[in-house]
Amino acid sequence: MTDEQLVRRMQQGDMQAFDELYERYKNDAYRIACLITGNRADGEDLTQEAFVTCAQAIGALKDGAKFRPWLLRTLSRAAWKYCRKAKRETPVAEFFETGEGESALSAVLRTDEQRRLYQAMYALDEKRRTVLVLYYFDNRPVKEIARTLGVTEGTVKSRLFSARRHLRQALTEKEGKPEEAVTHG
Amino acid sequence: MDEMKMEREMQEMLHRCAEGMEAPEKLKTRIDFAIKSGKAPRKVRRPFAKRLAAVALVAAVAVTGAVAGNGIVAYTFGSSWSNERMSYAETQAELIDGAKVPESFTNGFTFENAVHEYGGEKDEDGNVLREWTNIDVQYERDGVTLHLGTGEAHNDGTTVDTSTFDDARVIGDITVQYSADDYKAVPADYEPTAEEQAAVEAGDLQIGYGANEVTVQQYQFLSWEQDGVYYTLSGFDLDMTADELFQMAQEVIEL
Repeated sequence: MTDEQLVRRMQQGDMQAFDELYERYKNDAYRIACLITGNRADGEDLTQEAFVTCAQAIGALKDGAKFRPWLLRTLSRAAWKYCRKAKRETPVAEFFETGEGESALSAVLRTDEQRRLYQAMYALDEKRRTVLVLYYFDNRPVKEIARTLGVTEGTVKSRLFSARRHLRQALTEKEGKPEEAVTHG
Repeated sequence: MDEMKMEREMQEMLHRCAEGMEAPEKLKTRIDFAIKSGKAPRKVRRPFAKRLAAVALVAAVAVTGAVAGNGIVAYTFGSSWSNERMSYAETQAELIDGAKVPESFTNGFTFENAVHEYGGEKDEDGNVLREWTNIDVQYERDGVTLHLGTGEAHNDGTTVDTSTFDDARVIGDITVQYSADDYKAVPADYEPTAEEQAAVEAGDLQIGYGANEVTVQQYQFLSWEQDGVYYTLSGFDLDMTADELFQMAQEVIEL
């Protein structure tokens, strides 16, 4: 059964259709949420928030075939809001576990380059980090990322460009720590 | 490192981080409960660590978490909506050893149904400290709903803290604690006033985020332990006196 058919069933009050959509996208959403936030506990909370929001607002989704990008947009916006709030409350290095210690997510990384990329990615602001996750992890083209995030393709390209520049800079630094984090735009 | 290699490393780095990562099984239960309760999942900050276990037993609060001053987060989520509501006979069969629930109270509250309720505590890093399964029994009288929660008592003192309750009475050799607080359900972006913040810190107000509109209800709550079982009796806008609620607790204790 297609997403479109499941969404239509949901809109008619069939919540078993929601169960099927959840099964279909739960791991995608959870992994992306964990990668954006930097830890599993927050990823779990955000995944929950995204699915609940989508279920409650399913009547507003005109094109059921776009359930996945709609879910990811909801997830991304919740993640941005969460990250901004978390940064106000917690020093960013501590929040993203980029200090001396090794985070659960980064513990599996094998090469020094990957560790540097990981640290550099979490020094970026949440919007650029989200674009990186959707582009490099979810393997989505720029056009689809733009639709998912509700921004123009130019904005996605701009964020990708500045994020890559930041990553390159992190890799070329001798001590492996980026000089500055990109926090605007 | 050239551009192509960096892109490959980036892809591999992200896939390695997410390797084996799967949505926890209990996440669906939390989602179902949040949807059914009509409230988006948000954490509610409460100042009293020792009331966390009590919060975890109260299905009607419909929140997913409470953060104590010591950084421990208690979370609660109810049974899946796809689960059947239990009858009184089914409830009896599911109770832990020593737990007792009446079919009705002398003041007219009568058993309506019961559900399993799942909860736990995790630290601020998300490490699960413990998990539990309780049973939440719903009673009704003239359209008013009251909950009796039962679960295994903790042996570390976290289920009892007289200082945070408004009243405490001894029934037999059991100490029953009572509190009445305002519970304010608010939209996710609600900013508490200074006065509300002070009330929250004083333990007189709870704020739950994620509602469609602001509503304020009075929340009455009793708790006690008996024979290794932790009980809560609670409800919103019950319009009942503390004496009447203590009487109901006594009926359970003496069952």
